[in-house]
Amino acid sequence: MSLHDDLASWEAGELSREELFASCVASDKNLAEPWEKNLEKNLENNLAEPWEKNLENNLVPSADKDAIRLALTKMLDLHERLTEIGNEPVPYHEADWEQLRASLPDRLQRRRIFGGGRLARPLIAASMVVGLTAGAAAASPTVREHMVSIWHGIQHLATSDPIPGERQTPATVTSPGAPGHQVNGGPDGTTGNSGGQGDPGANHGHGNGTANPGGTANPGGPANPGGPANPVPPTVPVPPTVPVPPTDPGPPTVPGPPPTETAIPKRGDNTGRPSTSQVLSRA
Amino acid sequence: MSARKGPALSLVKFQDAANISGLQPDIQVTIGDVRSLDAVARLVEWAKDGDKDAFGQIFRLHRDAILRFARLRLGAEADDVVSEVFTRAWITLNRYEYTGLPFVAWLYGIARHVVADELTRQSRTQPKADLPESLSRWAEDDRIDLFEAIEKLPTEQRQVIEMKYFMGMRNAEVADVLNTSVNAVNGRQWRALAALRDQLGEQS
Repeated sequence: MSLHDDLASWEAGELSREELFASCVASDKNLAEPWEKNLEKNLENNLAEPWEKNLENNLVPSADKDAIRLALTKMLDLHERLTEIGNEPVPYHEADWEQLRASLPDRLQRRRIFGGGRLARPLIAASMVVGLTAGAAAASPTVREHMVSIWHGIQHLATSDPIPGERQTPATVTSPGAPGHQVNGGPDGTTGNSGGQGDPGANHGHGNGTANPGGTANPGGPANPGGPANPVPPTVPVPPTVPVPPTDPGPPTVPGPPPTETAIPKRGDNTGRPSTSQVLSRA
Repeated sequence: MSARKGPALSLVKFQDAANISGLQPDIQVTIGDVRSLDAVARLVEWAKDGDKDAFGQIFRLHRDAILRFARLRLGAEADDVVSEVFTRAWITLNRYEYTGLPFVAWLYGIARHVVADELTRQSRTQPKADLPESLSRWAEDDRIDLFEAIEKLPTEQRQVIEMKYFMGMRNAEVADVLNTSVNAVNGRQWRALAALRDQLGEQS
């Protein structure tokens, strides 16, 4: 057992002071302990005077024991003094609590929806994960296209516009080669845009009814007749799905009556579809 | 509180003002048993729900320990610090989670911060030479020497002395708070006492 173990045993009441002293003197544990270097110093001081008087042979064992006893006694007394201070009664006045109670703020009930933070933390973490994942997915062009489509749908709902595809006005129907009709990759192998970039007949159907019937579309488009042949057949069917009503007499280059409803591009149709940056800038 | 169930509530209620002000050995054992029965943890749960009466029981149980610790560092100004410690404890009680450690260990953490803030405030408002004077208003001369010697101890030894002797914690509880072994706490305790003995010996 080390000296600290002996001291702990004494503190626990398993050893008396005399037994502790005897144990320390017998095993000479004080010299092995770094904190007892001072004890050695005291021992040397105690021996100095007797050595000068040539009495050291008789006094050394006694001085050794006394020094150990003195050092340990002071420590044990300190322990008991501190224990006494720690246990002494402190005057208590109930008024102290009453005063403190009056100053305490009222606390809301802890039983909250999220159970005092035990559920709130996982929920916050989960929402952060979802948000970060959505943000990362939005960086993908494909996902962004879908998000733009969804954004269009939300806009239509917010402005009470007709759902795309349910009601179509004549202005939404275009024929091949008409302004605003895009054909990617014609049957002749050209890669030109036969319909041009403009959308003279409609204003993308955002509900303001200010369509430009006589727009400045380029019906010919920048076709490149001499371009390399494209063996891939056109993916977009050329014939219109809805027959042209008889009230639409001529090509759209002729100013006609303004449409009563704005044109709404169908989902998946690239006709007159605004770019992502345009949508985002509008948003 | 009458509808609440708990084995140790009667023991806690037994600790009225008269008993706490004059702690007898058998009553200390009772307080120890109350702690071991987690009655304090139950009181803390009630206090978290806004029960000020339950918090009052906590105050009565631990006020002396906080006051002794505060007096060790601050002397006569300790009473205000005790109020501040329990006010902060009430405000931040929802953050407390029972981990097996005694509640007084959590209060000790708050008290250390409050005392440090008070010492900083005092050092700004009055010269450092006046600090022992506030101590002398409360303690006798031998205590002043003892407390000053404790102040000079290394932090790890001083924490052991504070928690063991002034907060009333056992060596195993101190070891849990300091995240060390009981043997290490035992060694620090006796090294601290040896250092105190040497310091006080040099002063005398």
